[in-house]
Amino acid sequence: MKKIKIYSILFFACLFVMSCEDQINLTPAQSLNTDEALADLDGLETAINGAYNSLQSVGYYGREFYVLPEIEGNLAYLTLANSNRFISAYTYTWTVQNGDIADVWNIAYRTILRANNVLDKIDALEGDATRKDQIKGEALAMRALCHFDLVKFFAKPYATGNPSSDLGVPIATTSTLEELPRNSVKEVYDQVIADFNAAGALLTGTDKNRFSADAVDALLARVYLYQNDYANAESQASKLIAKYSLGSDFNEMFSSATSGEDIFTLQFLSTETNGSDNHGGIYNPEGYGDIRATQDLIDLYEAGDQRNLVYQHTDGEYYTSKYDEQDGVQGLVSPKIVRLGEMYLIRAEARYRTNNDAGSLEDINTLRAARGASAWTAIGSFRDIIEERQRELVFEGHTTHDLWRNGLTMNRSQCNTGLEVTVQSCSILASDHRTVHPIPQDEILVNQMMVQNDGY
Amino acid sequence: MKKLYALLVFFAVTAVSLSAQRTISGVLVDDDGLAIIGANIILKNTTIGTISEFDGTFSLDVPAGSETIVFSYTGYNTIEMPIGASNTMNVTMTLNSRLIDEIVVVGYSDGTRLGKVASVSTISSESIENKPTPNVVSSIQGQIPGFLTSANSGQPGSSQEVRIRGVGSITAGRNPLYVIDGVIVQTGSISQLDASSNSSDILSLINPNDIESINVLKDASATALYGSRGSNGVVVINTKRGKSGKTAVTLKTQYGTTEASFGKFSLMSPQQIWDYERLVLANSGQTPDQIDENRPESMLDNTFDWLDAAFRTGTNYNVEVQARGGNDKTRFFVSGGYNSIEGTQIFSDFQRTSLRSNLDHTVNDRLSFGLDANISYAQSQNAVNGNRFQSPLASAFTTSPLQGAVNPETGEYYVGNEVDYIGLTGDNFLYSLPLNPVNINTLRMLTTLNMNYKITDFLKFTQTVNVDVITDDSKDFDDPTTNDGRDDNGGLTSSFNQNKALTTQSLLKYFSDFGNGDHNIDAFGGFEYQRVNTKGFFASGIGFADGRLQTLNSSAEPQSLGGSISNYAFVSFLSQVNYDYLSKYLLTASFRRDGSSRFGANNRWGNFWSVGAAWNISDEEFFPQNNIIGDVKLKASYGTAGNASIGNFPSQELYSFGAAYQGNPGSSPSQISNPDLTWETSDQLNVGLDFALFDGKVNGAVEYYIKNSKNLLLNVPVSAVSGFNSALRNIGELQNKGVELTLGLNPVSSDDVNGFNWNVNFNIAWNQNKITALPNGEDIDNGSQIWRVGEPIRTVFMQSWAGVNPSDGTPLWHTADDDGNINGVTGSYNDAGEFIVGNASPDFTAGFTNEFSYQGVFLSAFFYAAQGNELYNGSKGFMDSDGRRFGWVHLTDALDHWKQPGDISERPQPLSGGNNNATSTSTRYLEDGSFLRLKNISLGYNFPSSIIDNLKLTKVSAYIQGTNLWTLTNYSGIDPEAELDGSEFFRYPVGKALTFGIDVTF
Repeated sequence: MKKIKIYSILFFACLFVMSCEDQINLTPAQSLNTDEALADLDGLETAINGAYNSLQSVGYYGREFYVLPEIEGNLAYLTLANSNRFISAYTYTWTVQNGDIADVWNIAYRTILRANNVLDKIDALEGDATRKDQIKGEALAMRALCHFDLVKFFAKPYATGNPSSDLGVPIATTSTLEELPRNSVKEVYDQVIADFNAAGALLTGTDKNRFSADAVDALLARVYLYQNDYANAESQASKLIAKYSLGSDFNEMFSSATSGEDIFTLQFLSTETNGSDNHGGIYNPEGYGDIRATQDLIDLYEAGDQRNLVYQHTDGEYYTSKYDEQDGVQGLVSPKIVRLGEMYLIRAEARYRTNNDAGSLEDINTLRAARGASAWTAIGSFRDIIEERQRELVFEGHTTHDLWRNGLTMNRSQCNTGLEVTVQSCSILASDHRTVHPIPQDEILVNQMMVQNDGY
Repeated sequence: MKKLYALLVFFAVTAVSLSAQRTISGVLVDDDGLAIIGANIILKNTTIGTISEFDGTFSLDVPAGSETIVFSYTGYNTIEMPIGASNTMNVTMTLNSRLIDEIVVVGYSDGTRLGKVASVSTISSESIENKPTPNVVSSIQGQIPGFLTSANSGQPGSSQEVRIRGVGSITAGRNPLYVIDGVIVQTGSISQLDASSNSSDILSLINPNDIESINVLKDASATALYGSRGSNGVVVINTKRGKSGKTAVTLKTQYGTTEASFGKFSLMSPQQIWDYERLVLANSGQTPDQIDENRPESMLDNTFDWLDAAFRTGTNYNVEVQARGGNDKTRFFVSGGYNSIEGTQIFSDFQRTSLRSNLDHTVNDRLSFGLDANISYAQSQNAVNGNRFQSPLASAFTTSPLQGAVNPETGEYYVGNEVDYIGLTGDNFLYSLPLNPVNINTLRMLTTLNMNYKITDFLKFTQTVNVDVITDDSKDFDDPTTNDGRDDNGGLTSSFNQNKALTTQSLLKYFSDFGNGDHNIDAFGGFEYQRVNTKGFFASGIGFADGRLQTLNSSAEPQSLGGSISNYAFVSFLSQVNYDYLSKYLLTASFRRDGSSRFGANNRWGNFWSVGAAWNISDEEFFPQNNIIGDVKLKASYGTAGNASIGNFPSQELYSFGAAYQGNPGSSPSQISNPDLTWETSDQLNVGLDFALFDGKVNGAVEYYIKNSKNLLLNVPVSAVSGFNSALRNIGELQNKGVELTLGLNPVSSDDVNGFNWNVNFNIAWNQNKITALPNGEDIDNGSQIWRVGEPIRTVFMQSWAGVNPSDGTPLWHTADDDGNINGVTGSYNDAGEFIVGNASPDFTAGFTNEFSYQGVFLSAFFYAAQGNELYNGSKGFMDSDGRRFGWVHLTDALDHWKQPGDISERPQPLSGGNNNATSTSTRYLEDGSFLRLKNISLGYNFPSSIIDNLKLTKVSAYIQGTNLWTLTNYSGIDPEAELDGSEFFRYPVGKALTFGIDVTF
C-alpha cells in the first residue's frame, strides 16, 4: 500500500517532468534572435537605423571623434580649470589605454558590424527593389565612412606616406569573430572607394539626414583629396557645387539638421540629448566649457566674416558659439558630416595643386563672398587654402587631419600662457609619431594579428 | 542523547513515587523569559528526574538531603542549582552556541544529522539582533570563518557583496544564494534607477530582529542540494517561530547616531590650497600677474568646507514589538517594527515598516499547517551616484574650498553654473539636492504556506508554496533651475517594477530506525519549481513649469518610455539520505537535478550530488576517557554544485531594440550566439575536525577545503574589429583552497547565571585562490588586474612607480625585460613595464569576540581583521595629482613634493595638467589594505528580577553599543573594509555608530 503511494507520487512527478521542458523553454521579451530580427526589409531598415544610432555615440560623431582633431590642433585650447576631459589629447600625452581613442576604434567597428549584418542578409531577401537598394546603399556607405574614419585616425596619411606598405586598419566586410590583420592604407582606401561607388549606384533617397547619392559623392571628394587624387576630387566636388548653392545663414546653419548647404547631416532629435555630454557642452560656458578659442583662431578672421563665431564671455575668455544649441537644447548638435562649404574648399585645393590658380581663387572667393568676407586677389601660398579651411570648418573635426595629410606642422602660438593646461611642446611636427593615434591596447592584447603603430 | 534522558526520566519517575519527601517546583525560562518545554530536570547523581511542562513549570519530588538539581536541554547550557531552604527554584537557561549544530535548519530538512557532517556555520539571533543596520548580512562579517562581505555604499539599506570561501567565479555572480524559511528568494536591487549604485537591497526589507538563526552552508554536502545555484555557498535564514507557553511580548526601542568616517583622509586647508595652486601656476610658467589673476587673494574671503557640508551626523531609530507564544495546537510569532535611518550623507535616508506573522497549527497527529507572512515597505531617498552633477560624493571631494557655497552678493546658494564658479561639476549640491530627490519605494510580500501530512509513522509529505512579490516605485526628479534639469527645463523619470516569484516544493520525507534504535535513517526526495517574472516600465518627461510639480502630468513634453520583461524558471528534483549508527558513524548523500531556461538549448539539464561522512571518534570504546580531550569528531565530504547567476538569456544570439534614429526604431546586435552555454560547476572536498577539550572549556573546529570551479563563464575578449569587445564562453577554471579554524574558550564560567562568565570566540580563515585555466592559456587584462593561469584572480598588475627623477622632478617608472623582470627606469609611461605587484584578496581574515557577564552586566567586544591584501587608492589618484586636478581639493600629503634639482621626493613637481602622466595607474597609489577593526563593542545590563518582578515584567535589558569605533591600518584612504575587488574610488563611507536601546519583555 505504502509502495503504491510512493510509486503514484513518482508517476505524477514524471508526468510533471514532461511538461517541465516547456516551463524552462523561455524566450526573451525584448530581444529577437538575429535571424528573426533580420528576416525582412523592415527588420533590415530597423537594423540600419541602429547603425546610424551607433554613429551618434558620444565616443564617435556624438563628440569625441569631432573634438579630438580640434583639441589636438592650434585653434582651440584646454582651459586650466577643466572637467578633466581631453587633457591627454591637448598635451599629446595619451597612453595606449586612452579611453577616447579606444572609443573611436570600438564604436567605428561596432557600426561596421551593424552595416555588415545588413549586407550579409539583404541579397537573399525578397521585397521592393528600390527600398532594398536604398538599404543596401546606406549600409555600404556606412561601412565606407567608418573605414575611412578609422584609417585617417589610426594610420599614416595616404598622401604623405607609402600607402601600399603603411599599415592601415583591418577591413571588415562580414560579421566574424576571426582576428583580422591590418590591411595596408591603400587597401583600406580602395575598399572605401569601392563601397562608396557601389553605394552611390544604389541610393535613390534624398533625405539629408541619411546617406544619399549626394552624400556619397561629397564624401568621395574628401577621400580623393586625402589621396591627393586631385582630378577625381575636383570632379566629385563639382557635382555637388553644381547641385547645391551657398547662402545659408552661417550661424543658424549649426542650429539646424537640414540647412540648405547640408549634404549629409547626422540628425539628433531634441529627445536624443545627451545632456551635459552633448557635443556643444564641451565648448559652451553653460556646459563644461573646457575648450575655448585661441588667439590663432581669432586672428584668422577679418571684420564682417560671418564665420567668426568667437565671442568674449563675461569671464573675459573667448568661446565659440558654433554649437550653442539646437531646438532650444543647450549644446545639442546635429553634426554636419559633409556640407557644401567643404566642396568649394576641396575643389580650390585640388585646383591649386593642379596649377589652376585662377579656378582655385574663384572657388575661394565664391565661398568668401557668401560668408561676407572680402575677396582675395591671389592665393599667396598653399597655407592660405588651409587657413581658409580653418575659417570655414573649425570645430568640425578637420583641423589636424588637414595639417598631417599635407605634412604641415601644428604650431600653437597661444601656448603655456597660463590660461591653458601646460604642455611640454608648443608644436608637433607632421613626422611626430603622435600624429597617428595608438591602436588601443586591448586590441593589441587580444588580436594576435595586430601590430601597434610606431612609437607606442 | 535525548533518548537516553527519556529513559532516565522514565526510571526517575518510577523511583520518585517510592520515596518522595520534598517537592521542589519552579519555572524554567530562556534568556527571553520564554518557557522552556521538555527540558530534563534531574537530581544530580541519581535517576530521579522529570521534564518541564508547556508553561515551563516543573515539580520534582526529591529525598531529604538532596543537594543539587541538574537542568539540561538541547542547545542550552546545562545548569546545576544547589537545593537550598526554599522549595521554589526559578531558573533561566542560556543558549549554548557550541551545541547549536543540533538545531541546524539547512533549508529542505531539519538537517540535524547533516549539520554534523557538513560544513555549516551558524549565527544565532543574539549576534544579529539590535544592530544599527537594516541589512542583516553586514552583521555576519567576522562572526564565522570564510565569509567576507562589504557594503556597496554607505547608503542605509545598501546591498552587500558577499564571498564565501573566496571568489568562485570570474564573470558570473559571486554572491551566495539566499534561502528564507526553506525557500530560495530573490536578492539585490530591482529598481531601474538604482542599477549602477545598488544602494537599495530587497534583503533590507527583512527585519533582522525577526531572525532566529542564520546558517551559512559552505561545503558540497550542504550546497549540492541547491544544485546549479549552490556553488557560491548558501545563506539560510530562519525566522523566529512561536513556542507554546505563556505569551512573551517584547518591546524594543533603539536610538543611535552615526558619524561618517573618512579614515586617514586629510584635506588641505583653504590657505594651503591657495598657496599650492599658486605654486602650480608658477611651476607652469605663469607670471606673478597671471598668478594673481588666476588665484587672487580675494579667493580666501569666501571659503567653504564642502566635505563637512555633504555629511552630517546620521541617526538610527528603531521601535518594534514582538509577541511569541501559543499552546500545544497553535503557536505564533508576530512582530511589527519601524526603522528609520538618516544616513551620514545629506539627503540619504531609509525607513522600513515591517510586519510578520509566523503561525503553526497542528490539526491532529497527522496534519499540520504553517503560514509565514511578511510584508515590508521601505522608503528611501538615495544618495545620488557619483557620476551625477548633483552628487555630493563627487562634489564634496572635488569642489575647492576656495569656492564658497553662498554668493556673498545675494546671500543665496550658488546654482553652480555661474561663470566664476569653480567646481568640477558645475553644480552646487547644496542648492540642487533638496530640489532633485531620488526616491526608491519598495514593497515586499513574502508568504509561505507549509503543509505536513504524516502518511505513516515513518513517512511524511511536505508541501510548500511560496509567493514572493516585490514592487518598486521609484522617482528621479531634476528641478528646472538646477544643472541636471536646466537643459530640459526640468525632468522626471518614474519607474515601476514588479518581480513575482512562485515556488512550490513537494517533499516526501522518510524516517526509520531499526536494530533497537541503533541505526537511524532519514531521507527525503521531491520536486521543486520556481518561476520568476520580472516586469517593469518607466516614463520620463521634460519641461516643468515649477519644481514643485513632480508628476508626469505636469511635464510639457514626454521624453522617453521604456518597458522590460524578463523571466526565468528552474525545475528541480532533489533528494537526500542521512544515516547514522549510534550517532557514532554518520553518512549523508544528496542529489539534485536542475533544468533552467537560462541554459543553452544543448545543455539544459544538470546533475549535482554529494556524499559526506562523520565519525565521532570519542564515542569509540578505545578512546581514552579523560578530562583533557572530550569530544572528537572527524568529518569529510565531497560533491558538486553549480552557479547559474549568468543572466537570463546568455546563450542566444540576439538583436536588441533600444536604439533609434530620426525617431524610427533601430536595432543592434547585443549578444553572440553560444548554444553550448551552461552553468558553472564546482567540486569541493571538505575535511574537518571538531573537538572539545578540558571539560568543554575549549571547543573548536578546523576545516580544510579545496574547491575547483570549472566551466567558468568568461567574457573572453575578442578583437573589437568584430564589432564586439567580448564573447561569453564556459572556459575558465579556478581553484580555492583554505583552512578555517573556529575556537571557543570559556576561561571563566559560573554555574550561577549571575556569576562571572567569560567567553571567547575566535575564528580565522586562510584562503588561496588561483586561476587554473584560461582560453588558450592567454592572459586577460582586467583593468589594473590580470587573469593569468597560476595566479590569484585578484592579481594586481600594473606599472611600477620608480619615484621621482631628482634632477627635474618628473615621474619615473620601471621597465620590464622579456621575462617581466625590472631592468631599468623610464620617464615615459608608455614605455613602462607592467608587473605583478600584489593580490587584492586578503591572505586571511579573522574575527575575535570576548564576552563578559557578571551580575546582569554584559560586555562584549568584537574585532575583525583582514591581512595581506593590496588596495588601489583610486581617490588618491584624483586628489594627490601633482596639479592635474587643478582647482579641486588636494590631500594634505600633496604638499610634500619635488621642489628643486637634487630633491629626493615621493611626488613629482606639480604642474598644471599634471606632470607627465604621473597619475596614471601605477603602484604609486597601491597600498596595503590590511586592517584590524573593533567592529562592535556593547555594554548592557539585565535588570535583576528583584526590580522587574514588582513591575510584572519578565525581562528588561538596556544596552549601548558602538560600531566600527576603532581601526588600525596603514591604508591612507577612506575605508580599507570597503572593497572586495581591490580598488577604492570616492565612496559613501560606512560610519561609526553609537546606539542605545532597551528591550522589555512582559
